Amino acid sequence: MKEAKPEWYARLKQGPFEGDVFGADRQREVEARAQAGQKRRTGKTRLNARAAALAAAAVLLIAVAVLATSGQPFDSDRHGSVGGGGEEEPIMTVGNFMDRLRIGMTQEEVRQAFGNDYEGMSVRRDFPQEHREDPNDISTWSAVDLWRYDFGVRDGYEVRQGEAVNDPEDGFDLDGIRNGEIEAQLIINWRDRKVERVIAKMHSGEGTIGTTRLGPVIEHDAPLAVGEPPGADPTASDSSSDSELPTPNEGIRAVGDSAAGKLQLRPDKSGDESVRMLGAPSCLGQETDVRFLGNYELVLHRLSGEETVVQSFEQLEMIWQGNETIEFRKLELPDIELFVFLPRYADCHALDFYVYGVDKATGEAANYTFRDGEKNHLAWTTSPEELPKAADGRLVVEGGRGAGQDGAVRYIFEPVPEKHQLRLADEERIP
Amino acid sequence: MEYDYLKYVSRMQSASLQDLMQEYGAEVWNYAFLLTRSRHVSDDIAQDVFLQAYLHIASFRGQSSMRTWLFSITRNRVINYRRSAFFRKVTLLDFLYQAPSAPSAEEQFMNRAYTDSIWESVMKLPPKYREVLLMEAQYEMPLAEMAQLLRVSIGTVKSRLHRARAKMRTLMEEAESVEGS
Repeated sequence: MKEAKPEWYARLKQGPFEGDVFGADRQREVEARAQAGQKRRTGKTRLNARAAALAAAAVLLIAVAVLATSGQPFDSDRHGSVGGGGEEEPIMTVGNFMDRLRIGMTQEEVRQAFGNDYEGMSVRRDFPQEHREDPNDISTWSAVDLWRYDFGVRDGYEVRQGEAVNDPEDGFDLDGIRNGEIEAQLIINWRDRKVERVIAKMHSGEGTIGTTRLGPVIEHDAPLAVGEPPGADPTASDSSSDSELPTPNEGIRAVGDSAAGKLQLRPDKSGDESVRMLGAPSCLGQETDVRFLGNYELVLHRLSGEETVVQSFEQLEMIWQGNETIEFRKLELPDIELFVFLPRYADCHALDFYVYGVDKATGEAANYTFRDGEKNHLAWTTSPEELPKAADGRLVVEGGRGAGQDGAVRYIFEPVPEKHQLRLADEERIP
Repeated sequence: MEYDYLKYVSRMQSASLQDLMQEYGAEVWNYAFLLTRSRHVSDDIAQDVFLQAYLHIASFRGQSSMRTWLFSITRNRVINYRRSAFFRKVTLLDFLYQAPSAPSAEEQFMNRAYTDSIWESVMKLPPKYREVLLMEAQYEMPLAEMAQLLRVSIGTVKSRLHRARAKMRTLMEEAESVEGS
């Protein structure tokens, strides 16, 4: 029988203290720190201009085919489906799309991910009986079903209805995206009511447009966009079956060999770890890469058998190639063994990473945070191409690169073992 | 206010951050306080929670409510604090080990400052009972949402709630008998 709620619950409604426990002063401090932190991270959310150029051919194929055959441009008399537009409209990024989309998703799953505010368009074509469809050319398909989502349309802006016959690029409102009137547009192609391919175009800053896609490789844009995994054949079936994937909640996901013992990243045995293949290529990896999601503990398993928990993660996502236990990247500093942990091996522009230090004298293991002025960060970001390294007793990190940015920033961190910190000592711009 | 749209964004705007802090600031702070029993640590954690939410809004997938997501970050920050050497040595000795028999100066201050004497009893509960009680009594959080936040089964939540209430009854009776004597 259901237990009745006690009458004294009402006495707890107000909270333990009178007044505003988290007042305006504290909120202003957060805003100041947030703004300072965001400036450094902005580049990560931008698209690579080269990626946009390379992937544009894919967009053109679909836009041309659909618009030319339908003679009915997308209806544009509405605003963004997220947040309602306005100056405070949030920014969509390629990461958002790719995180939430995969080939084979049902329409219901897409509605759950992106909402119901989409424009749908279907085209049915009659071809001679001997007609053969070219999977790379939508104009040869006898049935095309598309949904288009608009994100972040500025208040008062009407998405331009393009004249497809005269200018196929008008399938997307490219001017609107370029000028920042629209932050992003997403076109999903359906086959048998499942996602078959996806194209996203988004404002990438300074008049540039980023483009990315999911789905079959289209013949005419063979070079994949920068940031997408090379060599992926999205149409191929999985090369490994689920039975080859590691068993959830068991085993060791990552290791590091220290003089004091072994660092081991283990899933929570009573947790609900998810282990599956990505299923579709994106900036984050190839479709056969393995995605782990769950709660984890990083422990130092000492030679004596004793174990010390160094850090716990809740709902950590990791994406790795293959399903073998990975090794932390080990760097030698004069007094510390440093272990670099990158939960993901690929990203469009930058990778988050954590650092753990094992004191060579005491064997103490700790999570080293990054001290930037008055701020402390649990993780930092690095270029996917140039991973962190040790030089002259310091940690050298090359930051990620974003579209519209000239070069990147190289960060030099000095270890402060007594505080388990890596203090930002210097930074320099690099080409 | 509806924050569902935030599950689509990777960068939060400052106005959204302000709204979040105004709407959930006190709740996050209270939850941090309930777990840590320290006003100073709760100040730091609450600020850190909103900063993390701002910087990592892309990880909000809308699978839980915004409040549950913020509470989840709060829990993680508290766990991190508990694991840090400074915290272990200085700040929350009484949280990690048996509470000292004599109340600390901060506890004495807090006991005087509570809106209701019932909070003295709540704060004597083990943290895992405190938090489920707070979620149900103050925030009327559904069992499933509590289970999601605490990463335990609904049965475990029910069990903790049952025990929390039973312990509260005992503690309140003790408090009343002390007052009556």
